[in-house]
Amino acid sequence: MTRALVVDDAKIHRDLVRGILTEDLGFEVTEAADGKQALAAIEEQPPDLVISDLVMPEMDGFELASHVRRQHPTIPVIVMTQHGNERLAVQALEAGAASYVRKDDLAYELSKTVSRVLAVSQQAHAQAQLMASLQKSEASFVIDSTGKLVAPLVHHLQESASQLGLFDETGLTQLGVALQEALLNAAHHGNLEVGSELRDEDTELYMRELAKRMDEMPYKARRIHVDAKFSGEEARFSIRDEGPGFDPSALPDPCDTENLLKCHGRGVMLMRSLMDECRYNDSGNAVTLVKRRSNP
Amino acid sequence: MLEYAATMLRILVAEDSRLTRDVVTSMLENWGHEVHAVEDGHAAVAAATSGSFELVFLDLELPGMGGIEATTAIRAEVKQLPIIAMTAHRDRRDECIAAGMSGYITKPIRADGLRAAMDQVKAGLDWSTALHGLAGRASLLETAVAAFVAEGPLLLREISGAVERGDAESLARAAHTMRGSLSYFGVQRSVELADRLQKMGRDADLGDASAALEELRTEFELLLPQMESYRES
Repeated sequence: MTRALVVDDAKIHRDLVRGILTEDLGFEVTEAADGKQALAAIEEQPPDLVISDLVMPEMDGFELASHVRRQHPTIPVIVMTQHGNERLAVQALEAGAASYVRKDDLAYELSKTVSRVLAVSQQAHAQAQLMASLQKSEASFVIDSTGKLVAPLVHHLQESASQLGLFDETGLTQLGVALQEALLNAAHHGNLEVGSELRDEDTELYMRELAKRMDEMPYKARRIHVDAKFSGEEARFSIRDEGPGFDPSALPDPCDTENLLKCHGRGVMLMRSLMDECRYNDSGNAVTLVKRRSNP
Repeated sequence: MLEYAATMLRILVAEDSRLTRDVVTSMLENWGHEVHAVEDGHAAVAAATSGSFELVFLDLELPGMGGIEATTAIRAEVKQLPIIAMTAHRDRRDECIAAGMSGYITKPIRADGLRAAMDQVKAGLDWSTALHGLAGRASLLETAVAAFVAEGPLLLREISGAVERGDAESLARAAHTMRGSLSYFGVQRSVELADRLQKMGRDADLGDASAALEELRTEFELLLPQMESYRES
């Protein structure tokens, strides 16, 4: 049975909300007289949703809504406003309330609003549960070398890793930085064949050269192939360009901190230090990156 | 008696029983009101929609057109006019209110019943308006009335305590709650008084609070017995 917690210092509003939700939706309704009592009740037995007044002694509805949002993000809060106080409703929504109902309209609007909010939050909750049950996933992308899709792709891959709960916030950021370096390397040095030595010498000339080759054959026809595999243990990526490759054995030594200070080879340095594995194939046009689970 | 003379009303009485008609008319006239009586439903609708009356007492079992039907016809044209049902059947209350009647008194009509009806009109309490505010759901109106009877006197005490102590913050809060409770019943004057007290509290300016409190108390004393008898009937 769905449980609603109604929070109001006045009995009349509590009783009406109880009457409406039990009659219309068959809910079980519990009560609290202010925000503080409400938080205690939520800790003891979390309800499916909270319906709260805004103006209350002890802890008001704004504080309650923002607290519930932080501590119990799956429990939606609907606030009740008095006629003429719609401004407060906006503030409450900003504080974290999911919706609001005017007290004058309770008998007309409450059940509808509650049903709508619950449908959305249950959908979101189910989605989160489904993603928590995800065991592995795979995806492949083929993108051009203009770099326009690098940021969206990196974001998408971070999301996928996040859904599996592989990494903490720091781990996700590290993953993002490494992927971005790998993709830009593949585009600029691999497909467009502009060497990083040029960037070190003259950044402006380097950028111009990149822009020029994005429109020139054979460079502009070359694509970047990205394969991603996520499991409960690791995230594994293969990023391959269609350029002539290079000699991987000439890569800078990652143990040499000197290299971190130089632009040259910085991308590879970053990938090596941020990922657990970073391996180029012999022809130097494909890199395999692996990052293992950091969350317990 | 004089308190009613001070607010003389033009009242329509629609009643086919001569005895009841005479009793009601003479009591109302004694209290200083101007009364016009009709004997059937069609005449009642014509008179009530003429704009000449401020209050209607309507028998439910009128010949020609019954009181419920007459109310529907009147409400199609006039919304604000208070219509009080007169019936020998106690159990027709919800039917009357659902049809748009403001209140009801039971026959045989006695002075205290008629006086209570006049108090109700004076307080601006219209049960059909209150019912409409709660989506026409009689069970919710009963819930609201029961809660008001239980909580209203405590709130009034909180408000008067806050005014006496000069405690602006408590006044603002208690008056806010009172306003919210009153607003379910469509009693505009009481809602406005509670609203004024709330603002005085919020602005910490209690200069006129005692006067406003006395006005609110007067309204409240008219309202509470209405609520109590609604709950009991």
